[in-house]
Amino acid sequence: MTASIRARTLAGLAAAVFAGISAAQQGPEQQFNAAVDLLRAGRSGDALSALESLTHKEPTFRLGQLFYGELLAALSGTRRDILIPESPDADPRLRDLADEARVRLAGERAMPAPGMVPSSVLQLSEGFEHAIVVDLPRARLYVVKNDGGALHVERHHYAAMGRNGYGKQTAGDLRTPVGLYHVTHWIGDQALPELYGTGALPLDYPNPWDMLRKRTGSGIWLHGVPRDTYSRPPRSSEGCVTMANADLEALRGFVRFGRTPVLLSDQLDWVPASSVEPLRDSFLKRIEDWRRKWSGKDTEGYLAYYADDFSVDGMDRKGFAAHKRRVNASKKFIDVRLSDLSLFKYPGAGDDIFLAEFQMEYSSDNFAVTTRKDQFWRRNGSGSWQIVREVNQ
Amino acid sequence: MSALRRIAALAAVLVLSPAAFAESVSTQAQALIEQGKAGDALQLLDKHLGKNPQDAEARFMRGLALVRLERTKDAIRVFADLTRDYPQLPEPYNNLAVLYAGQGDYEKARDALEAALATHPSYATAHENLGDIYAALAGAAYNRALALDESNQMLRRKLSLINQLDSSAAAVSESTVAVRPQAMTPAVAAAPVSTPAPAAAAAPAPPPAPAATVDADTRAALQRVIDAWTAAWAKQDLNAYFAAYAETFVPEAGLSRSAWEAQRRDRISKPKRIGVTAKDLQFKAAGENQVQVSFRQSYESDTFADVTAKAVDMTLTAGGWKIVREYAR
Repeated sequence: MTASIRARTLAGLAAAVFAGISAAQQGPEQQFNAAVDLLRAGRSGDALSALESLTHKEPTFRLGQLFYGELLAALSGTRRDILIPESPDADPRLRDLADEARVRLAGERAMPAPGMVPSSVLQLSEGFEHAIVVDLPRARLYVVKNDGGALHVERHHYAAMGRNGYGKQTAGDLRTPVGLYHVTHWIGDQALPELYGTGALPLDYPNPWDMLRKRTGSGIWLHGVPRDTYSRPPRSSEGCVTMANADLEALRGFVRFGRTPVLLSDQLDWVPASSVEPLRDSFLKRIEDWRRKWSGKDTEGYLAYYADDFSVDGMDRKGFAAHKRRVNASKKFIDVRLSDLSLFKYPGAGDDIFLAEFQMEYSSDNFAVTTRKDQFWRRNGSGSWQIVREVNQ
Repeated sequence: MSALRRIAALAAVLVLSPAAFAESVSTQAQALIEQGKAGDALQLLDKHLGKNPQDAEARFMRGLALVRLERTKDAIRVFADLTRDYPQLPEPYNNLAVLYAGQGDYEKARDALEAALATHPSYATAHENLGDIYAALAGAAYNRALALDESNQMLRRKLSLINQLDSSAAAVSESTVAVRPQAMTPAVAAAPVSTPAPAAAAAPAPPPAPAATVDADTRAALQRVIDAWTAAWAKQDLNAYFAAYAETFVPEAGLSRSAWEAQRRDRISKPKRIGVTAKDLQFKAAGENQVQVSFRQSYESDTFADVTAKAVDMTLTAGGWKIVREYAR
């Protein structure tokens, strides 16, 4: 112990000064990871200083406290089980913190390289300045900026999910949904119990796709954490995505209600932007063809885009076809224009479900309307693409 | 002990007053402290320091007397002044650390110990104490990490350190693994107050520190329970008498609880009068919320009188401190 203490008193001073300078720009996670790097490098004295400074600055960052405790216990030669009071809560909480350590340490390194984009975001409408992408298995939230169609990560941070993980199916299953959602509004601190921290951004779960899959439940929010903790364990909520209050406040600044897609992903891959182009182009071609057939009153060609199991507004495929044939036949002309188009590979639905969100201006000789449309497409084995669900917002 | 020699030698050099006299005052004071007469020691030292304000050893001894008198703030000032005037002496830093730790200020305690080690890198007591401080800091960090019943745990940990400050003499007898690593190493014992080893061996059972391992509040609570218990006994108030015992009380000699109760009823209600007192209470922590209280019991009735060395094991229950075992020593 002598050596480490001596090292601490001298080298520790330099580390403390260094930490003092860099800590200003660093969040607790970066400081934590830096301390772990010091530990791995065998610089326990410097790690001790770094963890001391971290625990002073963020006393409620429990992971920092745990590692500080571990290092101190090691220096004191005392076993942890002697220092931790007996409690039935101790073991599960240690497991939770171990999980959090794993995802935080990996998360720092999970920062995608410049030029990489989420493979499921094929195109982001110009009207969407940002997208929020959550990598649920890695408990990481990314704010992706849309720079005239070019995507890049603006910030990223730890975000926790439901106690039973992700893939919500039913109310009360304590899972976080997988899918694409929009923030509906903001709920401020005053209107919320302490559990939610400084605010909440409710999502529109269940969305039409969820309803098609007969998923139940509600009240899925992005929200903060109680002030007695910096963050919650990776799996801890009833299905919401939770994050440090500071991160939530920062996130709020990027959110435009209905115009900031939130992608809750069970399998997020970062790929070079150019590699999504072929898929995007072939998807765009289908949508354009669908639009042209409709505008050209090619009703049978238009209807061929609708899958056998398509249904809308209580009509099945057959009823829908009859309705469209009748309506289209009555028109002298139809004009359909699409704008503000976003394309996604739909999360959690395998490789073959795609979502197109766009604005549609429909006009005909006797009717005109502008709506927002969400269209769920399925790519079939034969390579054909068909619409399985269509929703006008 | 080396600490004592180091200070004594230093005092001889530094102090302008006759070294022999200075030594004798400190030695006298030390003896008084060991006899449990810390107040007398303090008086003696104050008088001496009035004339010899620079006597480092006497000042140190004064700090120890204040510790015994539980005047922690004053003791801290004494040791802090010593570290300022004699930064090369490790012992005042060490004792300052122990007092800070007793107040739950582990980081100040750590800084003080590191200051001691900066001048005396091989000072074993400071190393051991630093290990304990790290353990205490670790415990506090674990508590914050796991948010386990936070306030209570923090308090308990703090108390256990206060106990250990005074436990120097008795700490060795703590047998459980759980206690040992946390036990504050003889901060006081290693400091000049310690009886030199040979004397300690010969000394006829030096009166243990008034607070052997149990903090003042707990001692006061236990004292009240023991007083109520002897009072009930003397008043032959059986209900109040039995109320002092825990449900889990196990009578000695293999008696069943009911047989014991019957025996006690008989023996307590028979005499015309009973006088019973418990004196010289000594407290020894025996685990979390477990304290052994030993005392001299004077019993006197119209038919019988004796004085015995008694001990009761007390445990903290929902209804307060209760007796779980009672035996003659």
